[in-house]
Amino acid sequence: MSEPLTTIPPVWKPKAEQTAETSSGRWRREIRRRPGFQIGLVLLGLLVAAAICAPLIAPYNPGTTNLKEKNQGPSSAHPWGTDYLGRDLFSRTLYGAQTSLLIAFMTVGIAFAVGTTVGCMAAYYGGIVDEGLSRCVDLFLAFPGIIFSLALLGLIGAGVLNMVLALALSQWATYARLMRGQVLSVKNMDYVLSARTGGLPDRLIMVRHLVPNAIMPVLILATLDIGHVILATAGLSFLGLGIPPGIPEWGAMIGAGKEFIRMAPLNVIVPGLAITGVVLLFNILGEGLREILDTREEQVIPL
Amino acid sequence: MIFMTTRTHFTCLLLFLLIAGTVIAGCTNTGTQAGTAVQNRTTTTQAALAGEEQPLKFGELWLITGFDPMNSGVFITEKAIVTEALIGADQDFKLIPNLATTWRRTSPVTWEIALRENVSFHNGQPMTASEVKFSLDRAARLNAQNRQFMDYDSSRVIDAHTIEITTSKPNPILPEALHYPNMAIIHPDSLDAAGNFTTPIGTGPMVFDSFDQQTRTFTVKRNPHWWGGPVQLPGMVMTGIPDSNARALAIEKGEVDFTVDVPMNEVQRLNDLPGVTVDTYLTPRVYRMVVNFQRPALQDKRVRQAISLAINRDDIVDHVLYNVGAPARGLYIPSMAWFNTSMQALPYDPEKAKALLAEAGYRDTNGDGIVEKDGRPFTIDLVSAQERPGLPPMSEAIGQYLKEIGIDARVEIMASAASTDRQKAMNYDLLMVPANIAMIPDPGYIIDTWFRTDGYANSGKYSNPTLDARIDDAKQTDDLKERYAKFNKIEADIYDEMISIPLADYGVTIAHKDTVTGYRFDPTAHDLRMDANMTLTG
Repeated sequence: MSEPLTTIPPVWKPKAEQTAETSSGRWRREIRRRPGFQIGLVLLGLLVAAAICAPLIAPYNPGTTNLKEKNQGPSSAHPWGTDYLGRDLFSRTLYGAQTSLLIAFMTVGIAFAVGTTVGCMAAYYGGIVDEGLSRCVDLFLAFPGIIFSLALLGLIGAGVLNMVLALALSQWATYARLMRGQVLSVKNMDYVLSARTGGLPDRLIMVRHLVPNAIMPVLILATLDIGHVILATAGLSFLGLGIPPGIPEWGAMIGAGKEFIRMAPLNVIVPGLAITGVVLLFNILGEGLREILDTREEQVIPL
Repeated sequence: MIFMTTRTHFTCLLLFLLIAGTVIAGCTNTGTQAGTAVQNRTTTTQAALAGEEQPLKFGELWLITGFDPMNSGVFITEKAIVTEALIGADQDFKLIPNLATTWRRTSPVTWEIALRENVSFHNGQPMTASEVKFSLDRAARLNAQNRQFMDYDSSRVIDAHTIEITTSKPNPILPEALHYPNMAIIHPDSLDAAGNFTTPIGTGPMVFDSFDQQTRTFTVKRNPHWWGGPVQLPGMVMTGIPDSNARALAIEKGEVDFTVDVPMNEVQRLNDLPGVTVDTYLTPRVYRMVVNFQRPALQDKRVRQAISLAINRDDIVDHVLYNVGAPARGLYIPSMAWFNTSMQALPYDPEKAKALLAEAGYRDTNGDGIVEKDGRPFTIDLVSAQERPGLPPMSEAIGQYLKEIGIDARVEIMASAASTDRQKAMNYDLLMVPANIAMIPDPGYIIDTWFRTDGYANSGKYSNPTLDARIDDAKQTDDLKERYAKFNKIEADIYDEMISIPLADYGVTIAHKDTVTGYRFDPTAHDLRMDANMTLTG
């Protein structure tokens, strides 16, 4: 959430400072009213910290097999049990968080950056640029996202970066479409017109006036999308298309563990709960953020 | 604001309900579907047999897509037992008479085969040399693999029950090739006027009854006039269930009476269920790793031996295959007549493996646990298909074994179509293969196809003119004892050179209800051959 804001160049700062008082005040007030959102933020912090520090926290190497201790239940040596090759499920789940979060943040980051740029340019320049870019967006939106990712992964093979590429390519168009609509609604506002007559270059008009005033709904979409991307990653890995077996990943753990579901259900339950919990967390955060940022709440409800 | 927070909670609750709902719906759905399936099947079979003896319900391994023996012999000859090959094989892979009674090599390229008399097709016509010629001509013409197995050139009808087969080059194992299920004998009326294969009319203990394109259910019934004597089994209803977990559920819920290859970790649990028995047998199939000889690192014998020494085959058989299989001992399986009993199982010795790697120039110079040579870390691409349930976990375990001796193994598991592409493009270092080793019951079959320079299953592109010459010499040896001895010598050298890395013998599990008795396993078949003399009670 703070990531995309930092991409805005320093020229924008004076304006931000003007409203900083009231804006940050409103933020603090809104967050204080939402204990659920606060807990969510703390949990997110813990999750990210755990994922980053996985090598320090995890009691075992996630890849080390110990065939003789396969399919064990929880014990003091293995708090969440072991998988079908005797690997520690707690360590694997922890490293899995690293994989999932890395993919989710990278995918949403790329899709967000590309989508907003394209959407903003299409709306601002209009005419043939808009036609070209919008038809391109339509083309991508016409494919069902997951099928597109499936086909692409089948073509380029498994791997973390390939996964990011496949998911980002299927997602960016949504951001572009939304951004285009938002920019269209502000681009004829008086302050934009006066900036233009004042001779401000197009690039600066976009960066100073259009992006800051159009970005919020796209930002909310991005937050909500993180959970969606984690699910998609897990789904593709479950099908054996996403992440090679050497890297612990929740969907792949469920996919391989489902053969043992009756004899050793922990193989599936542990990564399953991890996915459910993390996706739920991001959905709650996204929802909370939407409520805080969306000033037109009442109009949104009927949807 | 309070309204909004309530909404957040409400959303969470809704999400939980949704997940719980999906899980419950998922469970009950499977239950009801399975229930309806059983009901449907019972009604059809009741209608079909109107209260007569019940047919055996067989859960096949693969979806039933075709039943023309020319290319689906494994199904129609071995599973449906509607058609039969000229020559059979015993439990130790020695040839025995079947539709042919005797065979004799009359010149280097001609064979005279005497056919069994008093054999009739399911349409009542007697089997004579002209139908045999028709079937073999057709099998060789339409399928290149059949043609290669037989080196088939032509055949000539000598009299009603004698046929002469001419091969394109001397082929001492033509009789062995005739055992292959694709070379089964059919009546020309199996084809319609346009020449399309429609109805399998064979000579086997089961007669084709129906095939439902929608459900891919294939039914057969007893042949009352089988030349082999009275047939016990009244008939079979066969459906392909490609997922091993689904097959386990089907036998557990009573949807099928007989099925094959249940998940290995469930063998014990299923066997403990009242009314169900699971037996494990060895089939002529081995798990092995093909070595890519275009990779310089793997051209070094010491590296290949180190890879083999890094793998604990006993632990893999015990804990990954759940004892459905056995550690490899040589290239063949113990039930084969040409099995070399002096072959030793491959040892597990990671220290020796590391020493061999060091000797070959691979040392861990930067302390990261991975060995390097000329400053470059030693990485290996281990590619595996995912279809046979033992392969993916075995590949993962082997990847870890290789890491332990300092090789950075990258395991890739994919659909078999994708792994075949990788194999054809030579884009792998090691390739996991569950290969059949007795498509033709002769020791030369795998040695010739896997290791000869132009062998069609020589996926690793191994080439050694000296070995080629030895294979050619052994292939042309007629005397069985001498032939086996020559091939065993070649086998020992291949084993020592680690031209391909054997892992384990493949086990097949047969799960059947206790109402099915008298099943006799045929180790020469692909996975299994159905037995017409099983009995079904109750």
